This record gives sequence, C-alpha cells and structure tokens, in this order.
Amino acid sequence: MLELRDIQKTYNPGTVRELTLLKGFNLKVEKGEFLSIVGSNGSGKTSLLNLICGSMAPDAGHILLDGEDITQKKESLRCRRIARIHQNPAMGSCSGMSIAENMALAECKEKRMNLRPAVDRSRLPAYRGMLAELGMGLENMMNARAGTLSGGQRQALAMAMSRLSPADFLILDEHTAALDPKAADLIMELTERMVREGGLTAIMVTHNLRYALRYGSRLIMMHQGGIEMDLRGEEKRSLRMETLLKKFNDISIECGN
Amino acid sequence: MLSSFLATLPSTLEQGLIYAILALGVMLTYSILDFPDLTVDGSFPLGGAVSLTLLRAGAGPLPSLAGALLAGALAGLCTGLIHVKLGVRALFSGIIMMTALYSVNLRVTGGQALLTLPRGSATLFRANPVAEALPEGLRLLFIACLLVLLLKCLLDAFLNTRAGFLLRAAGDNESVVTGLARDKGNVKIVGLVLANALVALSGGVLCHAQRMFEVSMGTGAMVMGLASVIIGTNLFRRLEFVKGTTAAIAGAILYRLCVAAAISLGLAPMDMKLVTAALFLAILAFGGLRKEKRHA
Ligand SMILES: Nc1ncnc2c1ncn2[C@@H]1O[C@H](COP(=O)(O)OP(=O)(O)OP(=O)(O)O)[C@@H](O)[C@H]1O
Ligand SMILES: [Mg+2]
Repeated sequence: MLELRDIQKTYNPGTVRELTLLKGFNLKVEKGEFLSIVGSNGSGKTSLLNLICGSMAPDAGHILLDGEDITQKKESLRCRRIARIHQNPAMGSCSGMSIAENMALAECKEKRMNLRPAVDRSRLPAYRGMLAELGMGLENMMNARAGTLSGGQRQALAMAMSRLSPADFLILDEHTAALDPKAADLIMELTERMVREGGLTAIMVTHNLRYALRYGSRLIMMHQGGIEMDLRGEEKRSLRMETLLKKFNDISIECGN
Repeated sequence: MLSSFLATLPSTLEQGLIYAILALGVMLTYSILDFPDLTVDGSFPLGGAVSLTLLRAGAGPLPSLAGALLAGALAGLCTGLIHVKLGVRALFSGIIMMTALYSVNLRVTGGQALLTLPRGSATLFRANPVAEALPEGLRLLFIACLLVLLLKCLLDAFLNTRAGFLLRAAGDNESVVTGLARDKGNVKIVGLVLANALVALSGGVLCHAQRMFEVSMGTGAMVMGLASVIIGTNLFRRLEFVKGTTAAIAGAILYRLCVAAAISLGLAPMDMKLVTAALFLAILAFGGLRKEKRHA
C-alpha cells in the first residue's frame, strides 16, 4: 500500500513566482488498485507522481510504502519497485541507442550490471514479438536509433521497455497522449493486460476521460493541487461520461476558464 | 617542404597513435558521458610523471604503465567524487583537479620539472623482448599500433557489456538510468575513472617514447583530445557503422598529420598551440558539426 500523508509542496518559495501547490495532501492507494487521475493542466498530477517516485521531495509530510517511510529514500532506490512512463516521450529511452539496445537495457534492470554482453541475441525474437504487439512496425526497425523515432513510436517503445523490467508499481503520466487514437486504444488494452497479468498497482494520469472511465478500479479528479472527486468500486462503475464531463467543466468555470 | 613532411611521417604516425589513446579517453567522457572533463590536462602528465618515476626507480615497462593507469583512475575518481558527492559543476570539478594535479605531478617527480631516463634503460619501446624482436625503425610504430588496437577492441567490447550500456545511458538520458534503479552519479564516477586511466596511460606511453617527462606536457591535452574526437566524428559523420573509437583514433592521427603539415610549411614549434587553436576553431566553425541538442 502507498500512502501520502499531509504533503506540503511549494514551488519557488520566497520569490514572486511562489506557488503553493499541495497543502496537506492525502492519498492512499491500496495494493492491486488501478487508479486513474484526471484533472486540468497544471492541477498537479505530474508533481504528485514526482513526489511518489522521489524525483522531488515534499516540504513536509510523509510518503509510506507498505508501512515503510520512503520520504527520504533516493529516487533510484524507489525505482526498484516502480516502472514509470514519463509524460515526455524522450525521457523513456536513450536516443543514441537502437531499439534492440534499449530493450536489452530495460531487461538489465533486475540483473547485475557486469561485463556480460548487454544484448542477448537469443532474446531478440522475444523483443520483436513484444514490439509487434504495439502495431507500429517497430519490430522491423530494431537497429534504428530511438532518437529517430516519432514521439508516439518512442512512447510505445518505452511501454515495451517497461514490460521488460519487473516492478510492483506502474506509474503512467499521459502515456497515450502522443499516440494516434488507434494506437492509444491498443496501448490502453496492453496497459490493462500488463496490470492484470502482473498483479500490479497502477497509477495512470490521463486527459482522456473515456479511458479514465473505462479502465481502472478507481478514479480521482485533481484541481489546483487538491482532490475534487474520488470514486471507486460500484460508484466508479456506475459513473457516466456526462456526469464526469459536467464535474470537469464546473471546476474549470469556478476558476474562470 | 613535402620531403620534410614525408621524412617525419613515421614519427608523426607514432605520435598520432600515442595521442589516440588520449582521444579514446576524451571520447569516453565527452561523447559518451557528455561530461566536459578538464582533469585531462592534469591526468595526462600525471601518467607521464608516475611511469617515468617508476622506470627510474627500476620498475619494468609494464608495471610502470600500470602505475600510470592506476594514478589516472584515482584522479578520475577524485573528479567524480567532487562532482557527484559535493555537487560541484562538471567544468569546475575538472579545473580543480587539473590545478591540484600540477602540484601532485611535481611531487611525484620529487620536484623536478624535467625528468629523463638514463641511457639503456628499458621502456615499452626499447630493451624488452618484444621490441628486440622487431626491426629498429619499426619498433615504436608497431608497438604503439598494437597497443591502440588492443585498447580499441577492449573499449568496444566494454561498451557492449551491461556496464558499458549503463555508461552510455548515463550520458544519453539520465532518467533511463534512474528508471533502471541505478544511481546515475555512481555511473558517472565509473566513467571518469576509466577515461582518466586511459588518458594517464597515454601520457605514460608518450614519456616512454620520448624518454623524458616535462611538467607542462599536459597543457592543451584536453583540447588536443577534443579536437581529435571532433575531427573523427566529423570525418565519419555519414558512415553510421564506423564506431566512435575508430573515429577518435583516426581523428588523433589526422590531427597530428595536420600539425606536421603546419610545421613543414615553416611554422616554428612555438607556434604549435596557435596551430592547435586555429585547427580546432576551423573544425568547429566549418566542420558543420554542431553538437546535437539533447532532450530532457
Ligand atoms: N519544477 C517546477 N518549478 C516550478 N513550478 C512547477 C514545477 N513543476 C510544476 N510546477 C507548477 O506546478 C503546477 C502543477 O504542475 P504539474 O506539472 O504537476 O501539472 P499537471 O497536472 O501534470 O499538468 P499537465 O496536465 O499539463 O501535465 C503548475 O502550475 C506548474 O507551473
Ligand atoms: Mg503533467
């Protein structure tokens, strides 16, 4: 179980650009939960994920993982249990390395970083198979450098890479935003399967309300660093698109846009 | 003019090969790790000072070079620790170490700015079984060539290992390294250790060849290494299959050839740094190679 307790976060404290984003933020995510987060731009979704993963530290409050206080734990150590897809597709793979090399690198996560050859040729067919599932033809360009891929292709590659590095937590930041509608649907199906088969706990940020409704066991809506709506179980299942849209619009109107 | 260029061609090539080792080290930090490492100006002569001092103390050629390698590694370790653990910017970490090493080098030589080898003492290129088996005129060229090839193959192999991949990832995209649950700082330190070990080895080998050490031999080493790497990268820009190591070696040799050409055109040795600077500028300004902007 993941718990955020009374988190405070202020950006640029003491300057004219001071912005207090989180004021006593609380969130509990149960093991095995698939949490979708929606919310307007700048509502603090990425900031929340950064706090969970340790990319930044809260000013106050505690983050607990299975009862252990990980507030001070280094990001790289937390990543042992976390697989993350960033909002920026370029952050998920190495531009100068080929698709095959990136896949091999991802597979090294659990292994020792020793002097064995990084690419195991016998694994290439398996990589090809996983890439083929993405339906983008990436399996036919195994030697292309990741830097030459389009944003969507690159995000799909990051997705395939995350399947190769085992984790308990899957953290997704608008991972379908760069994809065309068909590819996005496909990746969402893949995500769902990955969470189910791996028994993962997932937190997915999305601007696609349809996905938020259809996938996941729980939905929260964020606004200006707070949680405006938190539905799970039957409540979540019976939620209708119109209701969600109306809520979204009401909040936006409140703050004048 | 041409004849003087041709007459010095063998020694130009020898120099090119020795500086190629330096270029390999610089390639590791600059191209792969994306770290502008100025330690090089100090670790290059450090390798020379250590190996020559060891030779004079009666050590064999190989142990003396092993000493250089180790000293360079230690220098790289210091730069890495300063940068990673103390949070000092890359450029400054290098400058600090470069400055400190100037004194360290003098300490190593016992305060002497110039160190020479006694007649007849064994070096990598003389009075050892391998050298004895080779014809007099080809010794340096052959042994240097062999050494560079060996290092190139080792480095190529390393860059394809898991550890090598991690190093490449650290220079390419830090968030990937973090995602792999590895500390990017530690990876950088390893890279700096390896790079400076190579650089010091290069300095050691140069001192073996020249049979002397001079405390200012490091001035401009960084620029020389960089120029080599950039010439090489530029040369093979359109040929993707050419490895970075090959390009760096070719660049180092080409760079030496340019310098030799300048000398045979009548420039004095004291103009050398000017030639270096002009050459470097020419490559950067007209080579069409602007460093690709990196993501994130
Ligand atoms: N590093 C930072 N420094 C200063 N302010 C920041 C920083 N990161 C985020 N912010 C601010 O915090 C607020 C929330 O940003 P965040 O990136 O978390 O939003 P988001 O919900 O992910 O938005 P989007 O849907 O556009 O991705 C924004 O107002 C942003 O300007
Ligand atoms: Mg965001």
